[in-house]
Amino acid sequence: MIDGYRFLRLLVVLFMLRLIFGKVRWVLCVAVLFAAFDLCSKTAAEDPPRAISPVLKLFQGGRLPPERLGTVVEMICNRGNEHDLRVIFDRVMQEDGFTTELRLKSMGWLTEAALTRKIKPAGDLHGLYSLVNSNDPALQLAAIRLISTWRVSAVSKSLEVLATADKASPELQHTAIDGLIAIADPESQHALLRLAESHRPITIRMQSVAGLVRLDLTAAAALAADIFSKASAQDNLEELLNAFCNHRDGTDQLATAMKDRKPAVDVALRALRYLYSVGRSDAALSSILSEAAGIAQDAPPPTPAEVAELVTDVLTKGNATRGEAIFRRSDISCMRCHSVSRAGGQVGPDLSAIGGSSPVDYVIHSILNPNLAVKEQYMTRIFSLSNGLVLTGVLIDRDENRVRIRDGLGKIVTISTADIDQEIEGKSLMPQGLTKFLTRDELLDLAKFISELGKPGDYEIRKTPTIQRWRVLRHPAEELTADVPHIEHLRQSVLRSQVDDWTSVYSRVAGVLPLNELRLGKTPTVLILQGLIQVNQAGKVGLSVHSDETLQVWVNTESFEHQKQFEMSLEPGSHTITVRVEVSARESPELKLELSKPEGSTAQFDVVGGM
Amino acid sequence: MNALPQKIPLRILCFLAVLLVFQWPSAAEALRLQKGDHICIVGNTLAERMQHYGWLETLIHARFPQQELVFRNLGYSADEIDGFKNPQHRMRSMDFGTFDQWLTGSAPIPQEGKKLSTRDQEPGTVSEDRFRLTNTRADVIFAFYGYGESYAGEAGLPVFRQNVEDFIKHILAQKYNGRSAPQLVLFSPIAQEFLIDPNLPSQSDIDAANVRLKMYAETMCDVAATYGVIFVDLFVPAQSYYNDNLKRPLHKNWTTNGIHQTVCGDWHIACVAMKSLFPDFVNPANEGRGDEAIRTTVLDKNTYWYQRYRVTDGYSTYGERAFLKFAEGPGGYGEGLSNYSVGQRELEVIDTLVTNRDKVIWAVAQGNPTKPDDSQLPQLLNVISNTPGTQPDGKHVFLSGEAAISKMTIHRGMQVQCFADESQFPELISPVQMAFDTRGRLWVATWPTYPHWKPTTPRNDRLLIIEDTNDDGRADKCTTFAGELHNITGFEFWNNGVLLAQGPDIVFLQDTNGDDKYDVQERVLHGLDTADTHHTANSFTLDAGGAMYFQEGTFHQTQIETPWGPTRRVSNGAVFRYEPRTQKLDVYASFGFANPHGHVFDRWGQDIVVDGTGAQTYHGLMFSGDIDFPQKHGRPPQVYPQRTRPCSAIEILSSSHFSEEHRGNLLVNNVIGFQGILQYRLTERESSLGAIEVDPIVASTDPNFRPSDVETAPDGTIYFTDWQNPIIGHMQHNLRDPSRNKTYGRVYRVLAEGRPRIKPALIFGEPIERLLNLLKDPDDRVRHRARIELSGRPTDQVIASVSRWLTTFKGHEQDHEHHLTEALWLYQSHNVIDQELLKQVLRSPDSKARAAGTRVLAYWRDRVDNPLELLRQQVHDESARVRLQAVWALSFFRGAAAEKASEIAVESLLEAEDDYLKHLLNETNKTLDRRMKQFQEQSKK
Repeated sequence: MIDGYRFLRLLVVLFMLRLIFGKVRWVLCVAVLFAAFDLCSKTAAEDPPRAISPVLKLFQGGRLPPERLGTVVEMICNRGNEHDLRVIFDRVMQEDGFTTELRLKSMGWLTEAALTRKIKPAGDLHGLYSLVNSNDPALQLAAIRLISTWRVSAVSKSLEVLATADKASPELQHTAIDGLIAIADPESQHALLRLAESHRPITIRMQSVAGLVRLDLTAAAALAADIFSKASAQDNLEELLNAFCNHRDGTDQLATAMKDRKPAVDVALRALRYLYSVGRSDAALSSILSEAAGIAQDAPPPTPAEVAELVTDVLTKGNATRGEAIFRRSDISCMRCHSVSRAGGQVGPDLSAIGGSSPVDYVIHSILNPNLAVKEQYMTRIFSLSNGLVLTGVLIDRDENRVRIRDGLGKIVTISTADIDQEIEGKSLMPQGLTKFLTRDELLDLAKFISELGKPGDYEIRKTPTIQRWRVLRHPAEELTADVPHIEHLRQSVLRSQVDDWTSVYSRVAGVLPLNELRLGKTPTVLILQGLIQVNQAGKVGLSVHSDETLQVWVNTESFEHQKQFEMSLEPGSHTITVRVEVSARESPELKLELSKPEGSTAQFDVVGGM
Repeated sequence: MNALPQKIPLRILCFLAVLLVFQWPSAAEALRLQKGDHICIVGNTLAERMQHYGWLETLIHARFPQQELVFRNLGYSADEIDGFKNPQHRMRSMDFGTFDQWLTGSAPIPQEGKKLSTRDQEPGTVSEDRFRLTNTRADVIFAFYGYGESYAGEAGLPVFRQNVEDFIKHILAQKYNGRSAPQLVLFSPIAQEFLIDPNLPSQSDIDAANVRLKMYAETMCDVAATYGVIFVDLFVPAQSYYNDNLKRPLHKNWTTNGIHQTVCGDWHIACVAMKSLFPDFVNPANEGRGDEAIRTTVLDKNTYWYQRYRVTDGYSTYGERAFLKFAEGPGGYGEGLSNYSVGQRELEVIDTLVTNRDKVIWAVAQGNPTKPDDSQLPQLLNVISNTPGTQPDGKHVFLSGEAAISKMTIHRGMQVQCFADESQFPELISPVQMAFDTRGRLWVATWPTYPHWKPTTPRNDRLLIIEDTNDDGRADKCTTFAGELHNITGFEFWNNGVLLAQGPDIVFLQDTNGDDKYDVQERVLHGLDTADTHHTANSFTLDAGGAMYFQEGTFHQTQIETPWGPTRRVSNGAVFRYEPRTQKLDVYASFGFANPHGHVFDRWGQDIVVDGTGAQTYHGLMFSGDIDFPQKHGRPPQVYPQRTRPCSAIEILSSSHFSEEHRGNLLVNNVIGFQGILQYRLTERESSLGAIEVDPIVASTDPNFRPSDVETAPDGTIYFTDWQNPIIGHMQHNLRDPSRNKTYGRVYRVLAEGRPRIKPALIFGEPIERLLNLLKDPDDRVRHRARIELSGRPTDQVIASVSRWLTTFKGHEQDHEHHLTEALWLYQSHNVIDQELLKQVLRSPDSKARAAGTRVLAYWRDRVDNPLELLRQQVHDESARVRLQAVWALSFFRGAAAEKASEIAVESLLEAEDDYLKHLLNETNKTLDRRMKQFQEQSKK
């Protein structure tokens, strides 16, 4: 169709043509014009089909408040077709198309679209190449991620250079290697093999080998076995192990390769613990690691007679106090997945009330043979992907583009539906074989503890709120440890700290935090601990501190240095309770912080992370 | 292409062609029944309902008394003809048995029998063939299909034709009886019936449906003729009956809702079938009264067969959890009996009961009436508890209803009283849901057969009315409104009666003569899965607009026919929405629940749904936008992070008997570990809902205490039931563990100390004007019961009164906007559209009213002018809640309207957003994107 404005323009052009060509006949001018018009309207007709025209219209319409631009771009990336994505890509490539933040995010969303929906912007994408060498580190990383997800082979060489460049930051190196892994063409594969050579730093080797698993499993297994045999227990082997766990024949091949090159005892032990902690007990690898670590092989599930005997022994000999200590041991990693009174991991069921509904032998079976009975919410699904990956986790939700699962580490993993070859029902994420780190007596204690949870007595559901999840400052500053800090120091070094500066520790079920587990090899060790409460309705809250150690308490910035029991009025919102404790040489130093609602108080509060 | 070799003479080719034509069976043969033939009925809800009325079976037995025929009805709500090869058109829970296994009467132990215990494997414990006694082994198959399929319309005919062909070929290639191919009789769908009811599909809807159904019936006829299969046309006779029926003075309908036969319809369908199958058949006189004796025996047999074929708790009888095995004696898991061996033996008992009743039918048909001889039943397997109690005989210790109060910690300023227990009313066992009727009386559904009926024991789940006639706080009268029920997982009052779960059905019961015992019973919904009975249709609740909701959990595969459109299907967890007045049924929330157990609507119609297993609470709006099967909603943010689990029921405490701090709070029952009722204060959180925990109402240390339901009573107190079970859990103990409670059950009430109880509002039988004034009451349950009472009053009177009532409103009246909204809900409940009132509420000064109006608009979208323009206005509302509700409402548009709806939905981005709006907008757009794409593809065709 031709509207009034266009018609006017036509007329102007017509006159101009006549002007230019002077004496040429009107007819010719009109012909030329119509030819041009025809061409134009053709371009208009070829306007690419939009998958999500309403959103795109909004994006291009100029009515959108700037703060909502991000949401709209994300929607286009999540749902648009290649032409829609092109619009976003063009804007990303425009120097001032977006704010820096939105530009980076948009590149992330385009990466996501390529990964989950297998879709990339239409047309030539080489423009992005310029950003791979950008001076802005964040932009460079985002560009590498995006271009390698699009599998633009041409960048392989540059990525290899970046991976080994002296000046490159570890993050850049890491991203560059990831890029090579994503491109996955022969050239990238060769580059990864070169990066995995034994003269390279071990972190680069490990990452490269992890990437090679999908491309050349046999070579990767041989290289990995070599790395394991040379690694020390300080090296972080998790990513490398994961790569083998996530491949169809990964752990078997790795086990085969390890036959000739066994890892050192402590490396094997660490690998084994990691394997179990992510819910894997693959027979061959578990066997060879156990052998290298010098510990027992996997036992078959117990016979009924053995269970019966265990039940009797749990009831007569099991000690719940010792059992709790075992439950908390890091090598068994129970708390990595399970919580009690909300304190602990969220991968497996909360165990607060487990003893209330489950008989002892149910508990024993659940430890020794976790696949015997799996509650509906914790049934896993196993996804075999076209690239050889095999991913296991509990289903969160799904649509036609993607499936979301929670894996053994509690991490949310998104899988593109297009990549799924096969999906089958899996078993529990709870690993079989964990108990080989336990003596029989320890197993009895652990089972006793678990079967007491939620029963009336020492392990009943908590009635008085206590701080169950503390966080402890990893590297407290000198001014915090040397002496009782000034309030300004507290403000600077504690209250303005970052999340990463802390690590979580959990009180026992009874609310007591055993401080021995936190000693840093010094006596006294000065610890900065913090609990968090959320006040929902203002009012008086009582605090009482139980500990024989020297300590100081601050609620937000208010100091209660010498008081072990006090009340304070709190307004709605979140409040920190900071404790500085000097852990003495006492045999079992402890800390317990109880909260209460004084008579007549109107306060309503919740302890964050468990109470 | 050179197809014919030159040398073959043309004459020979012609001869061959003629031969071919003659070889091809061109006309259907007549049905020939041999002595002892097994006739299996397969098909959709029409087939399923036949077993409950039994006329076709009866007439065939009456005609062939000496043939001793065996009927097994394998009809199943909403099955389609390609179900034998397409599991989405024959949805079943795990290991139900395939189409062919059922017809053959033979199926191995599922999952290759790997998981049986040593005890199960003792000789004579488990049969290798789990269908060996079903007596199906079909010689003859009656197949009823085509209703659900017809919604694919003309465009779907080629596929349907192919499916009918495939079905016929498949059946004729089988030897279900082990000897020969079965005789197949294909039945067409009946025509859809126009019923004179403004709430059911209109004449033009029906005409359109019948154009469709006719095409499908003709296609079936056509294909049947091609293959020489006997075809019975029900369509044309149905239509001509309907046409004549309207002219009769005392006309009787064939159907209850246009598609599902009444007993009268069943009789006529049987007669039509008989005439078609046996041309010399003459309709029996007196509407078959002479055959009533046979029919009684047929129905008795079918009652047992229904329990066999549709055995409830299938997931634990033959599915995954059938293979859990338990210790016999103290312990848990062991090599003792599994659920499978115990459950299968029960099925063999039912099979035998059914077979014994076949003989009774023959005897009666032959004129020698007899009683069933059940003296030789297979022995049930005796289950020994893996969690015996401390008593010498292994029994658990139970406190009395009164004494158990001493184990309770009660909120300060509150007091608990025992209202009723089993010592006074022995029938009060395992109460599962309760509700107060419009007379203020407490009704309790009891479940002694939990987890499901065990053959040879009474099937005695009941709906009880428990009253305190002298108002002393203790019940003194208990009436059984309905007994001999099975798995009443939920109920709700409506239209002078009660809607009740009887998985796999929902039934409507009514007492018409005022003796407090039901005398009308009608199955209104079919096809609810019962794979795990405590995941079956539960937590019944009505919204203010008169729709009823119920929920089901994972493992379940439900398919339901409705006169309003294609079959509703859903897998693994859903909330349903059912309008009893219009009989519309939809999946309200298709979501990956474990086992939803609790649903409440607040004062303004916002709802909270709780997933019982993990006790996660969700704002209903966040996952109840429209979505097309098999898609499910993404996981939305929770209302609050739960601290314990699992939850059995929730309630909003809206009662002026309690002080201000408790009003409007959410009560949450929790049954393991923390055994009591938690309390949360509901708050607005951005566009959605939030909640903060405040002190619990009650917590008990009695290990048997399991609060199963909670509700605000007419006197403003809180009532809660106690299931009283020492063991809980389906994975830890055998389904038939004798420690499961079969004796106890309690009702308690909680009072606020020092505050007067409310004088219960008079509702039952009150004039409409008074009831309307009760809609101004501040307490939610008072208005709820007033609405129930109004649901049973004639629509014209209600609407006339409410329109008068509206004129009496004064603008300055407190809660004026809420009263207006109540009026709108009343229109909605009576299925009468008032666009002016709707528009007034949509632009109310109160944002909560505007949100409520937006919800009504979504359900009226097909009957108001420019619904999308009205929603455009709501999408730009200054209130985030209204925008959220509008984005939700836009998900319901389909076809050509989907694109515009999407355009309007994204316009919401011009206003402030939050995470909830963003989540919901994505959900809505996913649905609309799919529909736009579908529409574009269809338009291209």
